[in-house]
Amino acid sequence: MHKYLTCVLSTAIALVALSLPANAVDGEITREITSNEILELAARGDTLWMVTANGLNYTLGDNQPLQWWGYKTNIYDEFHWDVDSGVIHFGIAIGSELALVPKALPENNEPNGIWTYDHATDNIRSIDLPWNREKFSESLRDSVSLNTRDIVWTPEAFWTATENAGIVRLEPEDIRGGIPSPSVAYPGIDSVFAFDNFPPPAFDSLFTPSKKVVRIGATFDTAGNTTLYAVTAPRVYTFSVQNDAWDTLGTTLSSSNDSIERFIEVFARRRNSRDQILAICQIESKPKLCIYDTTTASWTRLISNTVHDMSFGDSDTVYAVTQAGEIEAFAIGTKDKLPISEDFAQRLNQADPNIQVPAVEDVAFERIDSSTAYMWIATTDGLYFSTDPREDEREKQPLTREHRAPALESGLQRTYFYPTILAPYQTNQRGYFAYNLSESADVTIAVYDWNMDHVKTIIENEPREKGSDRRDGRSTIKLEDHWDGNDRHGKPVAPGVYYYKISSNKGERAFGKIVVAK
Amino acid sequence: MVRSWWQNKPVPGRWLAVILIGGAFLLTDASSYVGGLTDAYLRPPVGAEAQALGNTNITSPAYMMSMINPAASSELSMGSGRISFGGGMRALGRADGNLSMDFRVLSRLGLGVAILYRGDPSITIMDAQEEKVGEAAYTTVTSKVSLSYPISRHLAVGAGLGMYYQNVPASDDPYGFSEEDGPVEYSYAFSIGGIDLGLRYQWRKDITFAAVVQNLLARNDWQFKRYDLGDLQQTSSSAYPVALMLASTVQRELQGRPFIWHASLKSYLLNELSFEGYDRLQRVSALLSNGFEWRYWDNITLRAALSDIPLDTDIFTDFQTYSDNFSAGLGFGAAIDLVKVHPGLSVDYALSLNKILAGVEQQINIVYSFQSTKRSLR
Repeated sequence: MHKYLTCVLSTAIALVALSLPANAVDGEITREITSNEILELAARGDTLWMVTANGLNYTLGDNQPLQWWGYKTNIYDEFHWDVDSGVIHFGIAIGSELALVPKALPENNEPNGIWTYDHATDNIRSIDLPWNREKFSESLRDSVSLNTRDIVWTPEAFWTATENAGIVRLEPEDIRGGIPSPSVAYPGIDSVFAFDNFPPPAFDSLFTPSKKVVRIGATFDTAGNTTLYAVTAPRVYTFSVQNDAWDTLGTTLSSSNDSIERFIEVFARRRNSRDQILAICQIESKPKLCIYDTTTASWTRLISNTVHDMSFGDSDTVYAVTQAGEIEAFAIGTKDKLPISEDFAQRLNQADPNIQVPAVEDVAFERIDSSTAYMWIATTDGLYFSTDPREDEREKQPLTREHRAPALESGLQRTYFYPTILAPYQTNQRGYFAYNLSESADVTIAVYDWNMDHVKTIIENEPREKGSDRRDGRSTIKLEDHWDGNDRHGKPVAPGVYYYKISSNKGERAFGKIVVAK
Repeated sequence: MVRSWWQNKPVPGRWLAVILIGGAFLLTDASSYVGGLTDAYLRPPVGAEAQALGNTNITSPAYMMSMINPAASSELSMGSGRISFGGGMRALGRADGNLSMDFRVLSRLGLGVAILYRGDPSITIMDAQEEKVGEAAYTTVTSKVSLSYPISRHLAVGAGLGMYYQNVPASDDPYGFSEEDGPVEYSYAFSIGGIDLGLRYQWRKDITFAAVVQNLLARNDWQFKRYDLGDLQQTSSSAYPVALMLASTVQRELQGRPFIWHASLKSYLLNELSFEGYDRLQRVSALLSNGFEWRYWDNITLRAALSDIPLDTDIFTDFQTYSDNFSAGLGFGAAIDLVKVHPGLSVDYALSLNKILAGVEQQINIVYSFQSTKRSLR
């Protein structure tokens, strides 16, 4: 008897233990897009990383359909969110599938460190750089900010922009497993210091708060020439990795009566042995995209609209993402606007005519070879991409939409309405019913109020396919079965909780909840 | 004692009945299509007794009188009263809780106080990105205070004042493109001022009529943020529809045991349409309910109801539509005297089918009566 009791108790304890989280990490490894709100892209070859509102994702473009790996977490708690440009930056290494993201800025003055995701091992690591404040002089010890703001990858290393301590070099191998042994380069000091030797004795005399590095860019070529571009508010510093030498770019704005109030972000690439340098500059209190002319050492405004992000395109093309969520394209050489903007909206719409054209957050173009090129477009409602290698965007085929559509168990075992909180009083918003039939059937969806009084029949005996044959595992496509918060007479219902019933003529049925907000 | 003229002349009960029931159609330009109106959470029966009787216990509610008929506390004798509390679990996670106290406070004045909680404490919130944002709750609290006055041995009137509170999850991200899924925000509405008027007329010893107007001038004063306008704090006011209920109770015997038939007709006088104030509902209709009580044992009363049968013009003009949309409530319950446990103590239980067959609705109430009352079945 005692033996059986022990066995039962052990089983019960084991079941309880199994039901507990496996570890204490906030996020979880996932094999789907973590959110359809995609904030930032980074592409190298056919590898694409993206930061979404709910985590980090990774895919290889040579898998069709795309397969996703990722880490789901509250990005605003985990990653650094920059208040200026509202974007998150990270670096990746070709072939190693390793992403680095600055961790969220802590409330105290402690360094934030770096967060890494290694796809090869699905390993999530938090790295704190071994800063030692005691090495700074007393006047700087408490005030110096050692937060990591941005990360860029070059073939040699990862480079992080550290607010008051210049650029930190991190070796990928160290980051992957070992104890990092970084080195530091500070604007104006033509040397690279081992961490133990930083800051150097002359640091106090060279230190100024305005040298707060907030963004970093890099160019490199096959000959081993690497240049880093460190953005501070008043100017952009350059650092030659081979020569350990610092310089600055000019700060004047040509062909305009305006001036650059501050630099926000820099984008650079090497093409035909020359660096193409663009920056988002604040002009007239608005972020504008400027291009740098090395011969005149001055900047030229490239686009009149305010800019949110940009990416280099094929050959001479630059894609700018405006703050209105649209894409505009320019030729770097002539600085002419290319007539493709309308086509992008059209192509986004063609990719999925059932949804409204979403706002573009970021764009990335990557040419693999003469027959393969990827155009990745991050939007507020999914990722769009094309593999059409032609340069002229007007001629390209419609884009393909990739989005997160969590598979729903068949047989209406799980249904939901999203957004659960409808705000029709404020936005004329409507929400959608997500469900998955186990077999194709005629479906009726009706909405009821708290007293189960009938409010509206959404669809009545409409044929719907079983979801298991569809890629996203649902029987309705977005916008197909929706409710706008009006009753059967077209009048808005009162704020409160409403209940829906989905039933099929094959006997399946499910219920769910909808909140109508004031 | 000098009697008023109307106290000397008995009211012609049968004509009153005809007028009241006929008036349900004549006075109301109402509709059974009440789904989505402000008072959805107030429509279900309040308390286990009301649920078991399909909301027909309007002439003589045993408790929650302020919520059901403000004239009812006139039934209590001097120095007596009832206290009840209870709750309910409804299909799809909805919940009830209620508390009431009804007394005879002066020689001819009855006082009732009732508090009703209703809501849905567990709502999983998904945003437009199909991400689970968190859990939220929908909460309402309604309180009513009523006074009743017996004008004569047959006729009593009452009036009540209501307080209405609603707390509804709100979206700080109406477009679903948020930068952050923060904690769920809430909008709330609070107002005092809804008026209930009740009338109870005992035509004969075994037949009683009642008429109640509920939520007259009741409004929802909403405080909410316009997130699409930079979190602008705003207010707006909207009205509750006014409900008119006419009811009758007939006492008889079935197999030598007391048997009561309750009937009620409920309709809505006015509809509130968004921001435009009062408007009349489009269709003529009302809900007919029947409830039955049978005291087969001395300490157990059995209850059943067939309620919310729609009476609208489709019966005559579009019977097919009427039959397609037909729905009715079916409920059962029992009241058990716990005299052996404590004098005056009883428990009510009700079970009814959810109208859309999503489960069952249950309510239970514990009732404590101090001193006896005139109510024949108790």
